[in-house]
Amino acid sequence: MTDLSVNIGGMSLKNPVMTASGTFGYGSEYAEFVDLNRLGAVGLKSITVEPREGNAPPRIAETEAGMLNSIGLQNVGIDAFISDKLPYLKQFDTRTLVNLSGRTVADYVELCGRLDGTEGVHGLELNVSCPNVDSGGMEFGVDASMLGALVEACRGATTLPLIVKLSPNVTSVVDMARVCESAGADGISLINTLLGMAINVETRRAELSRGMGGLSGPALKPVAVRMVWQVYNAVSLPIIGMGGISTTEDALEFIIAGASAIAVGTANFVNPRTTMEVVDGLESYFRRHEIPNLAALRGTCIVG
Amino acid sequence: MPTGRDTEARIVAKREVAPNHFEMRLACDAPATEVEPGQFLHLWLPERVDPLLRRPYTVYRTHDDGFDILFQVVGRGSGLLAQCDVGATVRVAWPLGGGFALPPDGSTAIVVGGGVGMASLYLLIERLARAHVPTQVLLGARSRDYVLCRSEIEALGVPLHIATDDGSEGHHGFVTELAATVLDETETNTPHVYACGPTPMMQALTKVATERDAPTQVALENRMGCGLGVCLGCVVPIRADEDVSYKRVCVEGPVFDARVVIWEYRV
Ligand SMILES: Cc1cc2nc3c(=O)[nH]c(=O)nc-3n(C[C@H](O)[C@H](O)[C@H](O)COP(=O)(O)OP(=O)(O)OC[C@H]3O[C@@H](n4cnc5c(N)ncnc54)[C@H](O)[C@@H]3O)c2cc1C
Ligand SMILES: Cc1cc2nc3c(=O)[nH]c(=O)nc-3n(C[C@H](O)[C@H](O)[C@H](O)COP(=O)(O)O)c2cc1C
Ligand code: FES
Repeated sequence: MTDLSVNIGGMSLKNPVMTASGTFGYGSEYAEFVDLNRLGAVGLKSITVEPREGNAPPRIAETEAGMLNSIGLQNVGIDAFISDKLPYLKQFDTRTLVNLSGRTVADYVELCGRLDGTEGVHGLELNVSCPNVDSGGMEFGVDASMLGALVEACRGATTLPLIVKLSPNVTSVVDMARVCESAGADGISLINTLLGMAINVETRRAELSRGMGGLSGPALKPVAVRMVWQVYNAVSLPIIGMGGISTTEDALEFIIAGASAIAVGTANFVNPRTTMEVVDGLESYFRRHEIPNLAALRGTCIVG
Repeated sequence: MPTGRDTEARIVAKREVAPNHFEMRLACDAPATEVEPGQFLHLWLPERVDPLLRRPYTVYRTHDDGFDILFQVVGRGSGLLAQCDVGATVRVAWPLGGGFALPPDGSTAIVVGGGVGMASLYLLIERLARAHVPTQVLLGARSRDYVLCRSEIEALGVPLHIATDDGSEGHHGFVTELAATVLDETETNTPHVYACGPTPMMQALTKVATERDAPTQVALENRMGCGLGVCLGCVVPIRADEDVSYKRVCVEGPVFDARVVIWEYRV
């Protein structure tokens, strides 16, 4: 009997397969394709205090084995999220990881406070890594002292499991992870999108309205695996690994690198059943290799 | 809004109907006869990670065992699709989005297509004809070789007016000029206008039609990520009273009331 359950900083998941923020809507959009009861957790689109309209189009562009996005945190805001979106998810036997984004520490603290004790919310993920708005939290994610102060303030505002989603757009992701650990975070999500750009050479116009955007999809995977491996070897917090996961093998790579759970993002757009296929695939891999549980595989990467 | 299903579809026929334009018949496990004109499918060449994303195509015609698409080769995705052999399987999520609304009883219709935009309009023309709505089709093409759906429209008995960029057939010039003429000549109540084509064409047509108070529906073809309403990548600015808000082409569209679409957002 394989045991795929895992605990992420106090959030117990029946299996390590999650959805990545911004790629799964609020759950209902995928009900036709995915049995939400079989997901370890549903990661939800970033929520801000006030509703946000997002950036001007074009917001997406395809690149080699990947895509760029510059959505700009379009979302309904915390009030509508709680009243209109959250109730749907309560009917399922899964966990919800609510992703928060803000301009100021006060924004994050307010969001943490509002969701603390809200029925149906099982964990919070601080997005300190959105590359697509001028004040989307990325300044927190690239400055160690600001990040430490933010995580500490949020820690004081909630008893829910607190996950910090780090930006790959830094010199040392390990330094950032260490800061989160000492500031009281319960886990780390790795990675958000990598800043990128694409240009149409006929028109010489940038493909995205804001010029730059975040790279996601298979092209991102080796960078993400590397960061998970580095952080796993430096901090003891559980890691949610993501970046280009489309198959069971991709998910296994992250777990072997050190991830406790994994999230499927862009692949949901291409194959809406990806998460289900990965759950099935992990079950059969663990059986085939007679691995009793996740901990026995996690971080077992052999180098050299 | 119900999301569609995602099924395997087999390519059962393929035909190059104009240079670089292909008609492809796809068979799947469900009849497509309930599809609304203007609804689309999201097509994936399975297991590929490059090109990564699915490609949206309008349901061109429906059958008891599937549907046809009509597409132009413009890049890598459409190029690979055109190279697929009969017998190959693809995956299609369908039907997605909302379709054109037929006009109220007693109205007439003008359907204006630019290039491969006709692919998004043929099913509408068929439904208009079946509902006995007096309809005229105006079709803009590069040259006479690129006139799509000619025999299909003629078979429905619907009058077809052509405009070509090079003057090789019909009106020498833009299909929007033709639309202005036809609208001005219409003596009965104002026709309902339906359009799909390149963005500049739809923008120009919107001006022509709204100046003449003709209710107009346009089918937009923005780039898409998920096709299911979650990525928020396909949005278009839409005017609502004093406000502007972004609407998702894949869910709130692809058909919009032309008067509320903001076309100039690039500037
Ligand atoms: C709802 C909807 C319905 C559509 N129906 C049809 C149809 O019935 N027949 C048909 O031929 N095409 C249709 N299109 C357009 C079609 O999806 C694109 O032509 C296709 O995605 C291009 O893919 P590609 O890989 O060949 O091109 P790419 O290599 O991705 O791009 C090549 C060029 O095409 C442009 N392009 C990319 N995506 C689009 C797009 N969505 N619309 C316009 N230009 C684009 C790019 O900017 C680039 O200049 C539809 C689009 C939408 C959104
Ligand atoms: C369209 C899109 C929207 C996203 N929105 C968010 C978001 O709102 N908040 C966030 O923390 N991450 C967001 N992400 C990042 C993903 O959650 C994920 O970290 C990243 O895409 C890498 O995973 P992937 O390659 O599997 O997509 C978004 C990604 C995409 C493609
Ligand atoms: S294509 Fe993703 S929201 Fe429309």
